[in-house]
Amino acid sequence: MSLLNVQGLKKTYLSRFGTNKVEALKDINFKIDPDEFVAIMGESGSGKTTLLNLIATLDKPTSGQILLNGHNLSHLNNKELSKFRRDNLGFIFQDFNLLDTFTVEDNILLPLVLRGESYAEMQMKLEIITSQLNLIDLLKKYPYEISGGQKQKVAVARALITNPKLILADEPTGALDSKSSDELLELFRIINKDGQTLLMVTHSIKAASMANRILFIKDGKIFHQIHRGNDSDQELYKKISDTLIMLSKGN
Amino acid sequence: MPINYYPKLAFESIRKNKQLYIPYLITCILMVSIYYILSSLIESPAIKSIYGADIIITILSLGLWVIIFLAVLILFYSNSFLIRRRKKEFGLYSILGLSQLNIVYIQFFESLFIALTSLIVGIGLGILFSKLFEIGLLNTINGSINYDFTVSVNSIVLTIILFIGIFFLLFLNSIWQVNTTSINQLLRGESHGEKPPKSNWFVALLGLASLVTGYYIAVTIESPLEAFTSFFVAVLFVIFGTYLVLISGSVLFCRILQRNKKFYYKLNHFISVSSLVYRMKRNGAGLASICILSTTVLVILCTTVCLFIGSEDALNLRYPKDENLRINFKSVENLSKDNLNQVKHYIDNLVHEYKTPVLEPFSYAETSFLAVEDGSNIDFNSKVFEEMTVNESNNILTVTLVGLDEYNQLTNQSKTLNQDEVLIHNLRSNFKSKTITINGIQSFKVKEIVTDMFNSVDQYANMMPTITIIVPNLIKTTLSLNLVQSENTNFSYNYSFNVNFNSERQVKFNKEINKALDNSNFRSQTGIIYSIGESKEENRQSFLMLYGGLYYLGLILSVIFIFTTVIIMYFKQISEGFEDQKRFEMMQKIGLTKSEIKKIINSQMLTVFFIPLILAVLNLMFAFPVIQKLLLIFNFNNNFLFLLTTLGCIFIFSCFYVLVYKITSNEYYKIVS
Repeated sequence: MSLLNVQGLKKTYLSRFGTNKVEALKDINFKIDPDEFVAIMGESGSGKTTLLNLIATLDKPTSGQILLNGHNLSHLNNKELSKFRRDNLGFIFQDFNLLDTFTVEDNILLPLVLRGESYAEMQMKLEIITSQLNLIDLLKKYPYEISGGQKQKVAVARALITNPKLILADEPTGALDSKSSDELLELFRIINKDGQTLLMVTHSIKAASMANRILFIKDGKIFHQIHRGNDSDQELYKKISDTLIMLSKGN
Repeated sequence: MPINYYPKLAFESIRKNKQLYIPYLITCILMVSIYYILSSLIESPAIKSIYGADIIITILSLGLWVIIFLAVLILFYSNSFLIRRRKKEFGLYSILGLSQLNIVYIQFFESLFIALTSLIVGIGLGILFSKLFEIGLLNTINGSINYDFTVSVNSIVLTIILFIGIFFLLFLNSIWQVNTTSINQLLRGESHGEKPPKSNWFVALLGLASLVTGYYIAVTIESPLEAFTSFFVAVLFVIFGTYLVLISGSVLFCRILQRNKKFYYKLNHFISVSSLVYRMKRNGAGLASICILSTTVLVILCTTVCLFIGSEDALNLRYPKDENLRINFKSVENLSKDNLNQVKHYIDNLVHEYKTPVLEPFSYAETSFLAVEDGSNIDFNSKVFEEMTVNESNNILTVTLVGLDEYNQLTNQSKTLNQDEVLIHNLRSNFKSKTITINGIQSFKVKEIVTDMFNSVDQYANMMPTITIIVPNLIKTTLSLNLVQSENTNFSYNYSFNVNFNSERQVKFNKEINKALDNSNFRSQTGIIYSIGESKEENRQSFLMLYGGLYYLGLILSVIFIFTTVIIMYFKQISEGFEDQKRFEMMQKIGLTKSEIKKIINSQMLTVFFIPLILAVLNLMFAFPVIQKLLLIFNFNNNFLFLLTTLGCIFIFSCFYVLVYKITSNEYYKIVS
């Protein structure tokens, strides 16, 4: 059974006074299986972020449905959605979204506190995740004291600590330098190998070429997809860039 | 840029920031109109024409200074807040190519606009309401009300000069604030990484110690005179302590909570405590100001209300009967029964001339002198009083000797004394010794410290600690002490009685009786060297002036203090709202429900809001005994009434505080969600 099943998804925005309709997503259908690492690519305004917001339950679709692990998300009310989010999803954002009033340690623990776990449990999970991501030295620091790459690593730890079914990453390398980007992507690959399902929205061909499958969105529709198959990163990179050129030509 | 563009730009930016500028404008307008109203009250012909109005005018002029001080404080506070919020905007102007001078122009027109609006509207409202305030004041002090509408040009000019000055300073401050920051910093505005506040044990403990010291001084003050100076010191300690405790102690407290992992890592505590640390660091000073202002309001309100309600009591204490005479004699022998009867008879005859009886007469003889208390020894010749050290002069007291027979008669008792025994009564003093030595020679056993005392006029006329020594025989004891009449030593006869006259006649009669006692023949015949007759009616008006004036000023000041508190709270809420906006957005993404967020915000706000109120009430509780003693100076000793008014004031103030909390927290929610 697939982990995420998106069927006939539509999202229409009304302009401010309700006169102009903007169709952000027209008819989106795709599935993600457990252990997959999927990237979604597309130009600005293609509907990538809208799609991610819908999957993240931060927004509601106009029509169509999203099934995550067999649950139909549109059947949940606001309170259940919040609970669903904290139990099943992990988030990684472009601008990290770390709370500056918390230490690194507390930022990572935040989702567990929201779930009401005991402190002993939290400590156990924290130890595992921080030793895996090499964050132990940073625990007592505050977000403004560490670099962008380190911040994103902390965000990854925060997303992973709840053992989510699916991690949603929105332009995770967008605010990072190339070295930090490479490290982060390598990290994504490792956690994916360990069995973590990932869905990443990105502009960057480099980032996309780390995924197993790449979906291309244009004008609110899925235009094309590439499977890695047995391609190396370089081969995949070439295929992606070719696809992008093709997309921009309008074929 | 064409010059007429600046006013437009300035006006637009005020309009766009109305969430900030409306409260700021209201503050300015209110300060202007209150200042105008108070200064026009001082100038008011209707008030000037009242007998004894100079007391009121003095009190109101003092109030005017308090208002100037508050106006400067609060306008600078809210103005600097405005600038902080608008830095980003000015940064954008610079990027768009406006020079520093261009921005100064914009700021100038903004300031001009604010100044003109607040002066015009403020003075307008002031003129409208000044009559209302005048009627209110006249009503409080029983003055005759007229309905002539007057505009005080003098006050208008004064108000304009003062506030133009303040607005000019505010303008300079905003230029300085914006021009000393680089464009880059301006653009980033407030949102740069803030260092986590460090818990500072030393500062927190210093604050706590200062608070405790203040409280300790307040509760250990014994005499009202001491209260005057020590209370001031205690207040300084408490203010200092409140600031330190709220700024540093609160951070320390949160840090201690954070160290308790089981407590800290709970949903409600986790977010609240960690953001409280930052909030207290930023707003500790604001909260302390709210706390001090609240305490001030409570103290002012409960004292002035109490004094006003109790002014009739105080009048009766000070002037027990309609006519109160005090007659001093050359020597103690003049206090003989025969001589005093002659004097009494002489006075009674003056009343009888009006064909009315002397009602409820009340008289006694006494010897009184100033002395220095030193344990059980009372020394009256030790030094010239003018040359005393502060410490010695703190121990000065008035000693009054009264005969046992008169004491028994006036207090309806039948105490007995041996020749070497005395009774002691304390007023504002604290004599406890078992024996009493006067001037180092004459010693008496203190048989009893009595609490019953008849109402002696002189004791309430001054504010010195007074001990009354009840001796077996007044004349004999006085003679044995070798007391000689002097400026500080008097042999007096006190005679008070009621009369059957209307109040006008009473005032007239008082003049007559003073004149009659001035008769030199009668004086030499009876040994009188000085006499004074005081009429209750004549003094009622000046009592009303003093207490009514204080009460009225107390009310006005309370309103302003409360308003200042509201403004500080409002700006605090708004600034926190802007800061927390992003934080809560993010938490929602991670999976916090709206209702959880609301719950967290609520618990946080409650804590932050009610800390100052609780601390203010605590401050008031410790000030309570001191104020009680200070009120004694004003001849107010109705402790029950004081307790009642204090509780009433706390209740009313708290209701108001909760209301303000509701309103301002709504603003906060609006911003956050």
